[in-house]
Amino acid sequence: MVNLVTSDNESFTVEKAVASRSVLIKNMLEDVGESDQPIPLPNVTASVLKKVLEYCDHHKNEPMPTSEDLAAEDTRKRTTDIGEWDQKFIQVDQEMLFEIILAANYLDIKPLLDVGCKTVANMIKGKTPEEIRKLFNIVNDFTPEEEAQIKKENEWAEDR
Amino acid sequence: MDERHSEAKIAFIDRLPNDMLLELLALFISDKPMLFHISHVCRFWKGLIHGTSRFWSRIGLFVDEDEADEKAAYWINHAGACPLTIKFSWKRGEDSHVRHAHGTEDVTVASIKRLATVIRGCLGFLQVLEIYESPYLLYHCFFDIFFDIVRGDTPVLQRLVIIDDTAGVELFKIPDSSPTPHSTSHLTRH
Repeated sequence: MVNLVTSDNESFTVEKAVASRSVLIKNMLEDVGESDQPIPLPNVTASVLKKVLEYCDHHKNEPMPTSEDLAAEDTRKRTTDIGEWDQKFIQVDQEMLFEIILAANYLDIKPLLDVGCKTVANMIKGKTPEEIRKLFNIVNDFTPEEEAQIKKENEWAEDR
Repeated sequence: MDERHSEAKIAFIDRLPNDMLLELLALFISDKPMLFHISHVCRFWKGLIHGTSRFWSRIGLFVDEDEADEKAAYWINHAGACPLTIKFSWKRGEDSHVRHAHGTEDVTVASIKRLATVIRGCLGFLQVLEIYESPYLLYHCFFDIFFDIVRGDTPVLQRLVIIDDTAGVELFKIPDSSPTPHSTSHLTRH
């Protein structure tokens, strides 16, 4: 078993196979060898780690992505399909969604990072700039001069 | 929280580092309208998109548009040193024939010349040039005008193809499928 300690000082004891879905933790375990020492995760809070571990537990028996898989990352990124379980798992509020993405990046869990990014991509797909601003609480900070340039670019946006 | 966005409502997406946000945006920037949609969300996103040359390396243009040269220059400028894939097609139909009547040039001829001048300026980065031809057009005239200007070294050119848009037939292609080797290092008039 592996003991993980979050930024808000909560401890999680999980199977090695679950924790090792994180390449960061897997490398740490390999570096220190067999040890009872807890692994500090200063960039992850307990609520986010709980969610991340839920993902890792569900996928613990799947093969880890190989270097060939990672080399094919560009191809994978072109599709925004998400598996059924992952879709349900990622149905969280926006704050949690972006925290999961950040945690997946920090912990080096590429498949989870993919799920998070694809979810955001699917949220944005087909929306106008105004709809995207509303969705993410982004303020339109363009000057009137920049708005004029935008108007022109919109005329150019017609695709072949 | 980042000051560039609303203080009242939190923009959680701002928590992502720039490189992650860019990778995320790249997931759905698959076409021109989306590229502009994303860059028109806010100044920060626009800066990210405009500062990333790979988004601008595929250029699709209607050659009979009045602003085709301006548009091409805009894209090429943003693409920086990225190898370019340029696709030409025609927006209008039969009424937009390229004409040389009584020694005068119509607007379309002038716009093709301007466009050709812009393309000549980026030959060093031109990797693919696809020209979609319409049976309604007097294409010989277009190619005369275009390749009179677009000449020079093309060190990274991999493909030049002229396609009959209606039939989907390739009328001319470099490299050819024939065993005879072609030099693609210099663009000359054929």
